[in-house]
Amino acid sequence: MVENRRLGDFFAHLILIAGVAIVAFPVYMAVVASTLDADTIANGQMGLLPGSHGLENYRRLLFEGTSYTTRAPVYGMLVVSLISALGIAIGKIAISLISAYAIVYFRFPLRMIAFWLIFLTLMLPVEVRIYPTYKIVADLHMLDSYAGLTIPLIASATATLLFRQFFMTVPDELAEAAKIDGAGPMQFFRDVLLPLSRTNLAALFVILFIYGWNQYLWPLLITTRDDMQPIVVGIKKIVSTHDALTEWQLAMATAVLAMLPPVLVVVGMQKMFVKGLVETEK
Amino acid sequence: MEKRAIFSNRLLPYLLLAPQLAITLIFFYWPAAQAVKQSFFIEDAFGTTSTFVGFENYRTLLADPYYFKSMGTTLVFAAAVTALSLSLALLLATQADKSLRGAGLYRTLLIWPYAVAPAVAGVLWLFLFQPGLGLAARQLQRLGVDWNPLLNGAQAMTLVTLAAAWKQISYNFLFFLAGLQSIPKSLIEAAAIDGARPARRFWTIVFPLLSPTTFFLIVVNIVYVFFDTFGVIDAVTGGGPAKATETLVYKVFSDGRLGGDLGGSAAQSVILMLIVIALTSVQFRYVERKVTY
Amino acid sequence: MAGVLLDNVAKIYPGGVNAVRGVSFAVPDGGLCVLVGPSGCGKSTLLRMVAGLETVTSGAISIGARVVNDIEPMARDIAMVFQNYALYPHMSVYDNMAYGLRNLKTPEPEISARVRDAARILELSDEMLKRKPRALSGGQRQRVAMGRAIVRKPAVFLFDEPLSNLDAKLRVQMRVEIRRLQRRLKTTALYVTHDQLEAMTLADMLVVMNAGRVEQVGAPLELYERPATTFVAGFLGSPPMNFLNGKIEAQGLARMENGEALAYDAGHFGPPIGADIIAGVRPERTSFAAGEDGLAFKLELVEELGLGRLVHGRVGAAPYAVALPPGAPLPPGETARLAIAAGDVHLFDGKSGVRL
Repeated sequence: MVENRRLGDFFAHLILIAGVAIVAFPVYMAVVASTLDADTIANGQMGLLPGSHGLENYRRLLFEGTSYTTRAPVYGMLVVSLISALGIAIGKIAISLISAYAIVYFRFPLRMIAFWLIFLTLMLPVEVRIYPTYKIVADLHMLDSYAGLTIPLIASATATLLFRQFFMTVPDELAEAAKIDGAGPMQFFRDVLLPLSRTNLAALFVILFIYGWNQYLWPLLITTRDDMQPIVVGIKKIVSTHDALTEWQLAMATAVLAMLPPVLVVVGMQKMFVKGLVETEK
Repeated sequence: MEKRAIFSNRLLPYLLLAPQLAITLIFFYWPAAQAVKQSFFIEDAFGTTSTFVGFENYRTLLADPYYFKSMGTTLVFAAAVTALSLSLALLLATQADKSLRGAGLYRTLLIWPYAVAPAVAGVLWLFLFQPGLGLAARQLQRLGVDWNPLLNGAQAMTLVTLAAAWKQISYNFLFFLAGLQSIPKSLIEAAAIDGARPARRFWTIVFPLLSPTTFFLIVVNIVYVFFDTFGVIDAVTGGGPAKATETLVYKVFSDGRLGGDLGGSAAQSVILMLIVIALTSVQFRYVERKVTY
Repeated sequence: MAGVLLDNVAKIYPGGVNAVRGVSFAVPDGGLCVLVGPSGCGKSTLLRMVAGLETVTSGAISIGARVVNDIEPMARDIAMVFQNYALYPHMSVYDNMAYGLRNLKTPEPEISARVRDAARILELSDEMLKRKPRALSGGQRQRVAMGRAIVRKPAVFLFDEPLSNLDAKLRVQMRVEIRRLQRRLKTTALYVTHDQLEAMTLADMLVVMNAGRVEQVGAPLELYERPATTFVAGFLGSPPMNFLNGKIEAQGLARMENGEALAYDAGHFGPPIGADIIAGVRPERTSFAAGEDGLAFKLELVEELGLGRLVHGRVGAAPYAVALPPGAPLPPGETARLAIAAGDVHLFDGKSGVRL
């Protein structure tokens, strides 16, 4: 349209740059803090520029841990986070894929009941059944274990709905052609449906990896051992309630490490991420 | 809509569904049922006997001023986070929707906070506003504000609101942007020909057409504040000071950790369940066409 | 090689919809049988039952000497070409054609030989075999779908409206190719279409279906010239046959609704005097009379087709079309008289529409 665009565009850029700055500022400050020494922060002398203690801080944090609060090296926390995030993401995708397949491509008694049972778990997030779920996991001796960190979280109505939705759009004729070509149900699943689901799988993986990595309440409940806590839980323990004991440069370094993997996934797989986000909300 | 092409195996579908259903029943329905059951019983101090008391636990809960306080806290928190995060996101999305140079870059730079865990977001803002240390706190103190969220409830609430809204901006931004991009350009052009200036075009054409997205986001943000901000609260304030930031979910958690009142805690869980059911029903009414069973 | 036999085949869906109501016919070995009818007449359901994609509610379907009702699709020795081709989008053209053979554990060298053989027949280049279906044109996809069917060397080909997704020009071209291919391979084929022209041109044997039943079976021209019902008469031929209601007045003479008389060929068993009838006349068997005899025709519109001209009008209240050769003179005024030979009048029962 013919309009005075220059002024409008100028303000648009201004607003967006301000927005980007607001969004980035807390993270920038965390990065800066992670390169300073404890005294500079404790004395309130921290400025906008990074210091020179970065390498030392990260090395100490990763392999030795903090001095006062939780003393577990953060390297171990990262491993726990990675394993449980991968476990949750892959587990959710796997079981949702096959349940959606069963619901869409088979007719059997109890089919609708199964569908609704899965669907209604949307209304039962862990936050509303905290202690009874804890008790079951405790009774099953799954506290402080990877099984406990992952399995109770891998049921997924969202992922099942997404795959169901996708399978419905796969033309019937493909399954019929496969039948005529002599493919059984598992062969059709492996040779046709799975390769066709590739982009959906990738998009969902991005979302679920972030979901798994960012779990907080659940691991907080069921882990007591320092070597079984993910980094997102560990960081809270590093920030001690006793202000004087908090080693902020290390806490902020932990925050940076806790953000890095999921942020890299989002930025690196931006297209998949946006697709996954939009589709899972359908 | 039903598939015409189906396979006729009898056992296979059950095998395929077994893992999901097992997890669903063991870790979702069984505990939920336990919570409902326990909410009607009172256990003695040693957990040895329990007595059926009907709605007694609910009556006690609803007579508890702390419970109402927590309810109020949650509502204020939800309103503040939703309003702040939605308006900022809408402002940014309308600017990013203009065909600007570098629009893709702006998008990338605005969406990544989605990946930051609520607890981590909390810690970042906590540090920024840590009295005496954080850059923002020092700035406030220099301006003469008596800044101490560890003692001042309103300030603590402000802090958790900032952290929670910050993390949610990227999500809202993405959905607003998608909503804006789906509005046909011809409508805006028609309005321009009809003599509407840009601001008027926004409020009379764009904003009304965006209302489904806005409504959807309001519900999603309320759900987010109710259930997903646990990490923010726990990392920043631990519910304090003096329970000023204790949301309903946080209250279930902290009451339960102290142990003791199993029935009361269960009643709280059941009320939360009702809230989720209500919220998700609203959400699914909006996306009804997408659930065709 | 095998023929296909349908014996009183019926399909009732779980919801109670009676899609096919007792259909019987036999396709001889090597014949091309076209099932034609309007959408919803049950022709696709019937084909899918032959393929084994739908269960048979009652009756029997045999391929060769074997009743196949309870045999899985892959064991029926059939191949199918779908309307949307149903090519596996993530597999190359080669793999699409090879998939069925691989499932049968055919040795790779033989698969390769058969795929290349089919590709040669269908004029698909080696380079094309490596592509994904997405990178092919509609006509090429159609060929690949046929290729997938031929490599199996099945006893029966099943075609489910294979040309509907092509544009008009390509449709004519592929129609000829399918016919040529089927002649060459001498494989029995069952072909479903709603396009009467496609049906007429392709079929050795035509089965016209309506509302789940067979209206008539026979060679295309036989059906065109002696349609068994008003449905068949109206379905085959474009423009369709004209129908006029009337009563038998005397042997060889009917009184039409507009009060005028129409002479017909009485044959051996004429309908009784006074019976309600429907008289059918093909547009191309009608011309304009020079004199004052014949049914009065009120002219409304002339369509120039190039191949001829089509004159639309009415006899009484009933619409009536006359097809003229190109350049044939039009009647001078708004009204004219129709010249219809007694032998060109088809008589149908006024109620049931069955040929008399």
